[in-house]
Amino acid sequence: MSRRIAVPVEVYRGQITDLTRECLIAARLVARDEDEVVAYVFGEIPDHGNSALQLADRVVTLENGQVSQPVALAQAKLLCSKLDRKDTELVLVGSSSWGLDVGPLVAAFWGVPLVANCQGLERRQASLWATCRICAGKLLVDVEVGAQTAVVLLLPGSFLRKEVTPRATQPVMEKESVSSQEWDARVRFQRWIEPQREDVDITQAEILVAVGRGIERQENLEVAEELAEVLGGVVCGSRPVVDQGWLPPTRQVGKSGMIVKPKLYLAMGISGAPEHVEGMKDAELIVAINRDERAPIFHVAHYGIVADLFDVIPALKEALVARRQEA
Amino acid sequence: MNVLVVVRLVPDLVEPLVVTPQEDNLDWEETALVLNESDDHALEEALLLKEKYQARVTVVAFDFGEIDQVLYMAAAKGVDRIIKISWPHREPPNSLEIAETLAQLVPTLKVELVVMGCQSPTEFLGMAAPQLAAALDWSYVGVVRGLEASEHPEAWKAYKEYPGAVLAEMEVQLPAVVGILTASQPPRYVPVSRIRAAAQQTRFEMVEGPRELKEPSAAIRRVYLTPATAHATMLRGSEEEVARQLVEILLEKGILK
Repeated sequence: MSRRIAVPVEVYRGQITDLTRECLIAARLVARDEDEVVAYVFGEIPDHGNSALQLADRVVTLENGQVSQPVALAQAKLLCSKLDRKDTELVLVGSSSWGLDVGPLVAAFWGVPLVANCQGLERRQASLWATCRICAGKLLVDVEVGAQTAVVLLLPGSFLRKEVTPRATQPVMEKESVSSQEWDARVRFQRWIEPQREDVDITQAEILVAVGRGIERQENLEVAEELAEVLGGVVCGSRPVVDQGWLPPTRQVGKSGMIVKPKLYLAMGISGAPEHVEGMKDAELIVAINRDERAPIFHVAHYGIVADLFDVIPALKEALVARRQEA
Repeated sequence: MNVLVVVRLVPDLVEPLVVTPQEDNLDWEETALVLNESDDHALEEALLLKEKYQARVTVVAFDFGEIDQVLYMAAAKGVDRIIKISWPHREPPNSLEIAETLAQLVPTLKVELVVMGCQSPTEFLGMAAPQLAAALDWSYVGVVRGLEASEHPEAWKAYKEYPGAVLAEMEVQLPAVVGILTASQPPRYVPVSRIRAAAQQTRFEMVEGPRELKEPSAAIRRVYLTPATAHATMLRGSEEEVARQLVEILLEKGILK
């Protein structure tokens, strides 16, 4: 029986997100010949948005003046009203700030399972299986979703590099108008607030000294700053350090912080939660220092040191200074 | 305004995680538990609402593990009311159990706003905060960094986090559930002496939780520690030795000139 795999399209800052593209790749990979992959766009399709949407069999644009506003509650309700649950096998949503609201709401409105933190999705005979990464990436769970309708929240980076056979034909393009009664106005988008930019721009830095929970106290940031100075780099951090107010949000690396691609990323006392890795995995050289030899950061680092960062930093600083003097 | 804060215990991710021999769950008896970090931030945000807008703050938690210590801490920080839901089960409630139980309780409490962490590290089948909002048919915004009063009396401003440290200002009509990622300020410190004093003075209201549990919404086939698919080349030796090796690597890669 033919069923639909639906992908709500996230548009952020005028562009379809990479995560939406990943959802479409995942949808293509699990779709059987008779299934249909349908992308749902809230508002107009952005310029340059077509390449990602080529992965869909059908693209439905939902239109009225409001639908492009990032209001997950209204968009989730709209999706539920436009989609027939019985004909839908899967709703694939990216695990972004927007998707973390849309996906669970769709699952709850329909009363169907929500599979969150999914890093793998495959079809085994008639059944869909998902692999979920939880506990900051330390634990995996294999879940048999079965053939029932489900919503899956996909982690970033899970499918981006997977290859799919290009479709031979262009997707069917459709437009559906949305009445004002169909738009849940209980949550309203007001405005974007840009971060204050008087601080350094870590996305432009070639060398980043990143600190995590292992730095323990704000006063200890000084050792990281001293090392950054010797290296000619900049200090940044993972979410716990920013949440404590020890560094400004503009220095946060990760999903809701900055995406960085420096020449050197020195991760100190950072466990390597998926949300953090998303922001630094493309650095040219990643060196991690952590006391826990099982820390997930060692899965993405090129070089690792199992040690207390407070022992390694002074020694590294000394070695760098000695090297500079020799030169 | 009456605000309800939901707090949960989750595995302490600093400690090693232990899986059962059958690989069907975490070994909860061997798992150290701590307050879910984003719930801690939700508690802080509720306390800020109390200070700024005279909100009355109620904390609710499931009676699992050493939750009493968390509740005494909340009492020491100044919450007005504490409710404990009985939970006579061997593992903590999952997201759907939390959402379903709270959907029964919340209408009896006369609260207009529920704040809780927008996610917890063990969530993979369900997410409690948005699913509670849907069950109550209340407004919902998640991944929020801070709340403020709106010029409209029946609404609040929620600041939702987006990539690049960008915030979206959202106006949320009450009643609402808000999934907090980070409070407007770091969770406050409370001295141990005040927690001890709170433990002497605080009385919890008890509410009965579900005795029978439903089957999970999808079949959990295997739970296991993440295998290393790729691994860093490890530098070994004394601090001085690894520092020297690292400097050589940085020179070789052209990072040090």
